[in-house]
Amino acid sequence: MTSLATIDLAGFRLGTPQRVDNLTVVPVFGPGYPGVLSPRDGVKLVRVDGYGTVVLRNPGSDGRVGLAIVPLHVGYVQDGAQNHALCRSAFLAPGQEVRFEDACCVQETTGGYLTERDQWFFTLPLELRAAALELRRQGSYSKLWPAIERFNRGHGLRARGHLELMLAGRRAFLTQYRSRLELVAGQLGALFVLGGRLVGVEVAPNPAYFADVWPALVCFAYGPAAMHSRGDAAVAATPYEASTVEELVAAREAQLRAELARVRAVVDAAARDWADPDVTEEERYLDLRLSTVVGSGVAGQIVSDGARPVYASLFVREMN
Amino acid sequence: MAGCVVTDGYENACEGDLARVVATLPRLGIDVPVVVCVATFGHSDDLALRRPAPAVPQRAFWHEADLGPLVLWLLLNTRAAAAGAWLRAGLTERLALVEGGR
Repeated sequence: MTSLATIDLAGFRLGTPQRVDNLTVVPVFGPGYPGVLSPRDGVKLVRVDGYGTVVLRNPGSDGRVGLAIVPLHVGYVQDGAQNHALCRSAFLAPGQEVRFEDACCVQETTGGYLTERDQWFFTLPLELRAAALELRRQGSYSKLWPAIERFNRGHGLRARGHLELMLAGRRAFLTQYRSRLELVAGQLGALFVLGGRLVGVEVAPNPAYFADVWPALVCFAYGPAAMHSRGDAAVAATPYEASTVEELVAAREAQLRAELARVRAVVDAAARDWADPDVTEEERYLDLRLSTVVGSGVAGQIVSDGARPVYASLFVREMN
Repeated sequence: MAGCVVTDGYENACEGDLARVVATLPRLGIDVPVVVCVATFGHSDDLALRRPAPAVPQRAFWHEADLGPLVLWLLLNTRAAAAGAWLRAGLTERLALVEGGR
């Protein structure tokens, strides 16, 4: 695949938007792709083999055997070990173990290596994702520290290459995003709109996969930017223009329709900004292709089977 | 009579919708007290982001032992004719439990 224009979105549809702070999430529904395990079943951290090298394995689970697709920009945090994140997605064949020698350390000071004991993962914050993607295939474990320093400074944290300052320091607030914004039954993806701008598109092979990555995405990939952009002003409890119950119901429905129209306009605008990026194939697995997408306004990676999208993690290249 | 909204406290369809609906009810000729009961994960939940209608009385509950006090609180916030008698009976029962434990 060399162009996103050939992607066929037939069968995909958008659900009802949800909004908290300035972050709107639009659920995506569509046809599941068979044979791909969710990260919980198919992506296990084996160990960190030295700074900058992460080893993952696809063990299957409970007799379930299948391909695994490593979610883009997944990272692992553990006590007493140096936290690492990956710069790219990858295929893991059934039983396969893969060494990622281009991982980045996201914690400047704590020594030690990650091991298999804790599989909790996060996704790199939106503000770091374009930089991390550009640094794929490069071997320096400290390569993301300058970007993390800028990220921390932008959030009023100490300017160090230490992502824990956000992940742990703001955890109590960030983790509420998974409750404030709800995963919908059957949902296999989401559009993320911050203010009046589409900032991310996430599509998983199936709803189980998306349910696994949802907390990491909403809390840690998109949560920091949402937290940063929220205002303090309480919404005034202005009565609806209604004098009957029927009018009240109609007024609330009109409000929902207006929100839907707003989101649709944002998505349409993004379709223009995100048009015609370069698409470069990175890996193959049978009929599947993993490609990197880089355009003037968008970056990310996608997995496709011919024209059919299987996995996508696309985001804005610049936040401003 | 009272309107009791049981919720996790998070509002994500249209922010402020519950508060606006409650503010609209008197215009519709609906004059009932409304309260919000928030289901929590534990007694230490941070509810700062979980007050969908700040002007409306709100009480959190978690454990089954919270339900008794929650019902008494609901009785305090209702205008039902029998509420006073139920409240008196409930409080008398709790008093008897305390005195019996002396």
